[in-house]
Amino acid sequence: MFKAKGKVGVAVFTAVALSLSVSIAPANASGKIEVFSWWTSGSEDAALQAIISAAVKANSGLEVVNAAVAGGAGTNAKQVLATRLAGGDVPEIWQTHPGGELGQYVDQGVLADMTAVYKSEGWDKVVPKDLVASMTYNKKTYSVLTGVHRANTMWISSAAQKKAGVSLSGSLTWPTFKAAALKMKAKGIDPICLGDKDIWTAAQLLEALIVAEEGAAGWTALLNGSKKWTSAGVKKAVANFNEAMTWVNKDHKALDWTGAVAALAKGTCGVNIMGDWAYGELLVKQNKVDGKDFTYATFGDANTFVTVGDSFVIGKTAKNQAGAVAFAKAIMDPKVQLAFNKLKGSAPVRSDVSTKTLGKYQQGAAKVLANGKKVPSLVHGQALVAAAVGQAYADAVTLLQANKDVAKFSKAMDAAIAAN
Amino acid sequence: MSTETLDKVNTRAHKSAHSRFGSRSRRVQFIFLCLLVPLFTMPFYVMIMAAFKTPQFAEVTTMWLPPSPFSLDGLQEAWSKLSPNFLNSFIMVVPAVIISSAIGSFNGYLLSKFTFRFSNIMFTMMLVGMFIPYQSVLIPLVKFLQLVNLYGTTPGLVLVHVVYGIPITTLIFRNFYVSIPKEIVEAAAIDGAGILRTFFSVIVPVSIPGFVVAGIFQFTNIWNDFLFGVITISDPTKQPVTVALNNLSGTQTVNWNVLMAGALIAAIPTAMAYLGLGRYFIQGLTAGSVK
Amino acid sequence: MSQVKTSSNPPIKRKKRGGDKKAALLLLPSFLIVSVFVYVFITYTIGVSLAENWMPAKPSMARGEDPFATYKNLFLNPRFQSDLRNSFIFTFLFLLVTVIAGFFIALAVHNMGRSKGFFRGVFLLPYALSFIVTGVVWRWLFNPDSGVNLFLQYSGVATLYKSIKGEELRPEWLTSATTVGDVSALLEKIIPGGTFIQVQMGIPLALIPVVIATAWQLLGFAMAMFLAGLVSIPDELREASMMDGAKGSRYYRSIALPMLAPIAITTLVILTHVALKIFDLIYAMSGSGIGFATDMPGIFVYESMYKALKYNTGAAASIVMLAIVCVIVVPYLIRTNKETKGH
Repeated sequence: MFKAKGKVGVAVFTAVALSLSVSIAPANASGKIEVFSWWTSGSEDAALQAIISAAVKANSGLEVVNAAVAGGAGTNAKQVLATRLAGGDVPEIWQTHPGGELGQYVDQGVLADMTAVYKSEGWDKVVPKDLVASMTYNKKTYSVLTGVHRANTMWISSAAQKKAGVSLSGSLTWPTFKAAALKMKAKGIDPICLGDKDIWTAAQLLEALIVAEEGAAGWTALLNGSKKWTSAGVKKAVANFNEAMTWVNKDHKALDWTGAVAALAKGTCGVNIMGDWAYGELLVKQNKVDGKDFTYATFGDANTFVTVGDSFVIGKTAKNQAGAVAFAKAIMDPKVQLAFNKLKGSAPVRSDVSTKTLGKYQQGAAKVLANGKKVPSLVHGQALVAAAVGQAYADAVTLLQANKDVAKFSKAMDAAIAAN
Repeated sequence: MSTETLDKVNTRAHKSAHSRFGSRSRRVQFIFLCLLVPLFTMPFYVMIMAAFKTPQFAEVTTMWLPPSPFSLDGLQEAWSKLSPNFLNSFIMVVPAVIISSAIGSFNGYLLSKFTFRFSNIMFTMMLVGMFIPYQSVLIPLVKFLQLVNLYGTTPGLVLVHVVYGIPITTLIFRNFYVSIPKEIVEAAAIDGAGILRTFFSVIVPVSIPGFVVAGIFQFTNIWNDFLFGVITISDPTKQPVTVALNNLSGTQTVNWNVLMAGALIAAIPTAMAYLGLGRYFIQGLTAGSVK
Repeated sequence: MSQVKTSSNPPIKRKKRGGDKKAALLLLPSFLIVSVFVYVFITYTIGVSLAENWMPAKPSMARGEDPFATYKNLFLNPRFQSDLRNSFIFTFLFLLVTVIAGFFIALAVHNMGRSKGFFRGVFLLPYALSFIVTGVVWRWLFNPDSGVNLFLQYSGVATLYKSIKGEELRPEWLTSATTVGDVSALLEKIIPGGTFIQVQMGIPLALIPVVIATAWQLLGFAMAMFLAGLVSIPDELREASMMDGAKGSRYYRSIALPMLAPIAITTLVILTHVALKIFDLIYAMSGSGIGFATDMPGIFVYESMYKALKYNTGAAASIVMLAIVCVIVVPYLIRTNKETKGH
């Protein structure tokens, strides 16, 4: 009898100890995980490394294989990813854009559902609701954001402004901008810096103009098909765009976006509509000082934030699920959010991250992200439309530059949205 | 071939060239070539200048100016990011070039010296298929490699390059061999040599220029290949150097000095292969072959 | 084709036939594996092009109501129309420049003495570079404000031009939106179903710098091919023609050129294959260009499949390119294969 009691006692004790250990011990993931992105060099790589080292530090035994592929603004990486998905060789974590692109992965059923992790970690409370919504399908959330860039920022060369005797800031109406542009042109300065060897930069400019004319609600309506692209707002924006194209530097087709930023830094041209990855370029490569050498403004409402988010998803059939979740947790860690975005130049997604140590521009951007109107960028594949619509838009802008035909542009966009 | 024979043949070629053409037309040709040289080296000048500049200075508006300040950062960063993958490229390229050239030369021999019913059709079919853009056959390619358990391995990549190289090497050798008189082959056949023996004893010795151009083409093609390298091998430590070179350019930011330095470094093995192979462009290898 | 007449022994029938069948068998393995990698994969791609919604992780070959809609839309797409035009013009110009220049450079280099190796190296070195970097460097070089146009200014050519024509000499190169010679009207009469052509069917001037850059890179290879041919001309032929008192040019015309014909054909085929599939160089150099002036089918396939995630469109474009090649190149290949094998 003694023996039996002892045995039971040991069993109970062991059971209690085990259950305690499961709930108390930190979830420490180990093993190998593969992180697949298109961030391979410069500030992007540095920022990615910040996440990787944080993940490795928090999880002893975790090995992160950085399988990044550069090129084509992510298209090269997507090419590799497509073949890997087709072959069933699924990486644990890969980079994507929240919006239609994410949606197509959801359609293929290859993503792990992160809703539970969002709840248990409390992310659903600190990430702005519309951002979470852009990553949620059928009530399931599928990815985490590392940071959000803003696409509709106008960077302004202080030297060029001074020379032309203009001062642009805040929310700009088209007449205000036009007046300033003409003044710059009179002084021999190209009003707009553009480097559109890759068409997305010109497409981004047009997008900012359309959002300025249509507003956040109008833009959303245009994207979901409830508003046609033959609207007055779009017509005006395209007319503005055609006019703007007469104000760009003559060698724009031979420059890529960094060439345009370099020209802005030199002051040979006045403004550059570019996402705020240009911030890092201006600060680090061009050695310019925020406020002294350059300032910023917005076409239309300065409180409308055109989002370009970078997100990471987990492959449902990848081997090391625990490791993948651990990496996602590292991405959302407030300290990592701060470190990452400091290097990358984007805004942290968590509202509980103090932006005091970030640059002046970034602090402003983070505020608008938290409180302003957010709309997804079509150019950067953020909209909740199929990726083909983004491609159709880019193609339509290419033709628009050549033929300046707003009717053809609107027709192409309406057809693309209808077909997808 | 021993170096003495090489030198002797070289001098003979040299003399032949001299004696046939008046030195005036040679002089004209020489000047013509010299005028082309700056045209051809101009881009290299820009690249080398950029490789030694700082990131801020290495861009389009200052391309002609020499580096100021002079910086080895580009070279250092490029080397550190490329060197781990150099060995991978070598291990992959050398077997692929040798195998595809060997098979191509044998196929070229078969197609040029023998008449069998479907030779023309088979040859044309082999050639035509390679005109398709490879981006569109990537997915069935990957599935096939997985089927034969070679996905993600260097031998798998070698296989891909060999198979896609066969049509071109076959073409090169076949059109090279048609100018070798059929009588030589038949003479060997009369002497009792079979297909293989004739190949090794008669054809191969006069194939050297063919191997040179096939080698130049295949080495360049395979060494500079990015697509197959990045698709068939997902482990970054096993990928060829072109993938690492491609990754030197970030998505948003590109440090041109690093990229240019990297491109120059990555081109060195190919340039050396040209040097090595070019020595075999020797006149007179088919001497005495026509009776 | 060869000028040298050697005594032809009547083929020993039995041995030859046996050898020929054996030859066919020995060729079979190469033929089979290439066929798998080419035709089996292409068949899969055709399937993808006809499918309604093929995705990598959901590879459904199910067809929609009109599986050929993808192909129809392709031909109506102004971008693809530009691609066909560009591909045709680029290939033609590129072949013209590279093969002819390569040939003459090979002739000259072949006649050099000690400087042969040096020249060979200079012309061949560009071929060693990765296409991506070539594209970037030449984009810089063709920048209308800071590139080769500067030479026009410094050499005085620009001032001369200004004095004659009265306007600035500043070639726009890649930034040019001009298309020269528009034969759309003519084409619409020829092609059935006519008025669907939406782009100017002429020569986009922006293609010229692209041709130059690609020619720069591939010329060395063409030169190497012709050099290989030149060194293979048996010495006896050269010496015999000298003894006959033939001048250099006569030697070339009646002896060397015919012997180089097979090599020329090989070079043409290989360079055509490079030109039709060109991607990296143009993508890095000019992207799709103004109004798709420099867009190529390779770029279109890449972006359709992996950016727009429309796999059926990309697959269809590849099949169309292949079909065009078959129609144009195959008869040429069959004919030249028969001819060159003649003797």
